Amino acid sequence: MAVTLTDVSDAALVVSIGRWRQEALAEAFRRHAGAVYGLARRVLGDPSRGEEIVQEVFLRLWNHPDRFDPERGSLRSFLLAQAHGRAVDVLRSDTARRKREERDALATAEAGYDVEHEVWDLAIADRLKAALSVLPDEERRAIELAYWGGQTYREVAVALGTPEGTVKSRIRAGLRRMRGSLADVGSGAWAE
Amino acid sequence: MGRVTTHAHLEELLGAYALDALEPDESALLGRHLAACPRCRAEVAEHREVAGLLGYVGGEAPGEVWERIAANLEDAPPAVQLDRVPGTAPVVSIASARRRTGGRVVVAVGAAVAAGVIAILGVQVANLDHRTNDLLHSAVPTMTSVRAALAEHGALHVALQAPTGGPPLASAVIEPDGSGYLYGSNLRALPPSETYQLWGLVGSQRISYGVLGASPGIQEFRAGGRVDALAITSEVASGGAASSKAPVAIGPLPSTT
Repeated sequence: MAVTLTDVSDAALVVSIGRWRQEALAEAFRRHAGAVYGLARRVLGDPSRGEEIVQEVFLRLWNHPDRFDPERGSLRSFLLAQAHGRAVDVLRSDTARRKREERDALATAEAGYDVEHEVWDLAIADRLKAALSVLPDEERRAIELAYWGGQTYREVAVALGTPEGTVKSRIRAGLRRMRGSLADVGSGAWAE
Repeated sequence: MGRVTTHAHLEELLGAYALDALEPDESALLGRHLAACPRCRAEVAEHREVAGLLGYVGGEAPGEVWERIAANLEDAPPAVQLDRVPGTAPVVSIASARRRTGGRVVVAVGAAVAAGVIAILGVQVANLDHRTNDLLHSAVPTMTSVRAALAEHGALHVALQAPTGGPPLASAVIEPDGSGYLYGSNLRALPPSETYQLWGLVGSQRISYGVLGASPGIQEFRAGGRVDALAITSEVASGGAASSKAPVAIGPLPSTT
């Protein structure tokens, strides 16, 4: 029996993309473009540039499907990591960056992450909320400023008035702590 | 701050690296280390899974973004060639495909022309060229031939869609001398008892350009003389010299200007 594309795994989709099946890319887009767009738009604070990042990330998947290794994580994490990297590149080369930093960075740090409001998938929201709740405040802030603010850990250190080495350690420790509370992340959370 | 060189120092950078929060020089340094250290690579992968969850705000991407991506795909074919593995083509319903792709523009034709072609296809066809042969299967062309044809001056690029619209189901290129290639097929695989068949539409006639098999890969064909459009039907595998079946995909040729 033939298998419908909507039923195949992300890994199988990427194999089909490697065979130049546009429908496979369309399905990958359907599954993950919203997440990629949401992240890029939030980091850049600009919907149209968010769209550019989505376009770039999916064209890169089309041209280099072999760069995704299903052994090393989910397709969504892979795409989000690419989107984040590109968004941060754009942000850092942005001449308006300083303005945006002043406007948003501390606001982000103060407001924290509005999980209930931002995350529409309740199952994921619950898991994320649980994971964030295990973080000490200073770890959570360091991670949020780096991730959402697109700041380097040195910039985070300045923003928080904390030594660089401490920020570096807090980011890593916080991510590990969240990982611990999300022991099954990557299997259940991203399954369609 | 001095350069970090020990493994312990490098490990301390892994979290910031996963969040793209290193300075460029440190990022390059750690990148080189990661190439040689599977343990650190694994840790970065784990951090990125967590970051992926943090970064998941949900929602939808605007539909136009897909249209822009789709429009760029033919200009940027992937390095891997299209495989022709019978029976493995994924199936997707036209309706759901259209819903998520938001439709695609047929190359260089107006809606009126497409509508005219659909009307033509509704007509029972009587006078057909009987070239329903397997000649096309004697040599398997590659994307290299397709790319060469696409680059040819004056070549006609054809996008075949379902008659009701939607994403491209296949693409074709016809060189000025009439050599043509069908490629980039997204047609669902047929059961072995059926086959796709390619037709040239001239006025109210269908001229068979050959059978394509149940799961078309790259196919060569020859388009002689004036052709208004290409069409693909599904037929019983024994082949039909004539067909009145509605096409599963059609693609009007762009006008030669």
